[in-house]
Amino acid sequence: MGIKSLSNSSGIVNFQKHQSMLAGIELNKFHHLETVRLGSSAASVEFTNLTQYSDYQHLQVRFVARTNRNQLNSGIFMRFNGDAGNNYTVHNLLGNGSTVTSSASTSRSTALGLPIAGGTYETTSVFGAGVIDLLDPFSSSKYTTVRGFGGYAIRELQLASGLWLNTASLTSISFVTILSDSYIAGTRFSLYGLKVRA
Amino acid sequence: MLLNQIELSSSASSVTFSNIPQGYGDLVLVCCFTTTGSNNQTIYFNSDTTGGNYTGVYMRGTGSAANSGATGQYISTTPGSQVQLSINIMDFSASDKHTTYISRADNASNQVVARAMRWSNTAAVTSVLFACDSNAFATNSTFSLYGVYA
Repeated sequence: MGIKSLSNSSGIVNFQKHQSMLAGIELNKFHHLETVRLGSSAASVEFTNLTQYSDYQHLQVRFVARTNRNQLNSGIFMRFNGDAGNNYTVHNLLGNGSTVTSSASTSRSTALGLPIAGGTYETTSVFGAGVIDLLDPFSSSKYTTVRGFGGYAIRELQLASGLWLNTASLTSISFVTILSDSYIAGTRFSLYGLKVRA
Repeated sequence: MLLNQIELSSSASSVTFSNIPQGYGDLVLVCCFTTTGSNNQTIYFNSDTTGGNYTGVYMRGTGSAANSGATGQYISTTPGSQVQLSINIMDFSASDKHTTYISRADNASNQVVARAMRWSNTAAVTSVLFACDSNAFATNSTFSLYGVYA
């Protein structure tokens, strides 16, 4: 039988009242953690000291980005804990305005590339955008898995899945450009945490 | 943060979110709707209904094929069945870039479509109009606008 009421006569003299039977436990809370907005170009952007967010179950990155690469196929690429080794696996589904193609790659040095606008190849003010989920990144018993969706008009959009072949808990996320280009001013990366437990 | 939610008590050809607060990084519009007949849906910003100012690229699966193409202002197409549509409107208050928005439309009886779209304007988004090009959104359709801090 559940407790219907508490009073001083029950012997409990100090208790906190809650409107919900969840008693103040925060469930399914989505919090903004950090944002990096570039004032000048940079070859990479990094979120560090992520251990401070290990009470979150999942992380999400939302970005708006453009590079100075003067060719098609600019992109954002991710690395974890500074690992630039060939320890990543990806699967992609890409639409380029005429066809849809699927691809996969193993032994990559980055996880999860997503297309963004670049350089003089695209109209000024055109940026790519995307949303990336990092699932259970603080677990030390499974590989870090990410999924993302992003693109830019009118060239490309992509659904992507990435895997870091390492069971280490996540401590940093790096967004790099692997084509000798840089993210330009106005690029923004925002990090969020999702709590699904008390 | 839920900014506003509209649930239709009668059919309507469009819904509008006005006076959008600028203190957020992104907007997320979540739509769950049926329509009174086959049509296309378009999202317009700041009352700019010039279709040529909106461009995009899509990829979709129809149940028998996957294809990609360039798209104008249309962000969803229905034959009248239930549609779940989520639209991420990124950096909507920025004035240094065109407004980029990415979407996914799930229409279980017809197709699933992802889009990357752009409004060729650097103005901050202050209103969102979501409209049918013919027929209307049916009663009980819901439209929820969220703000995401950045």
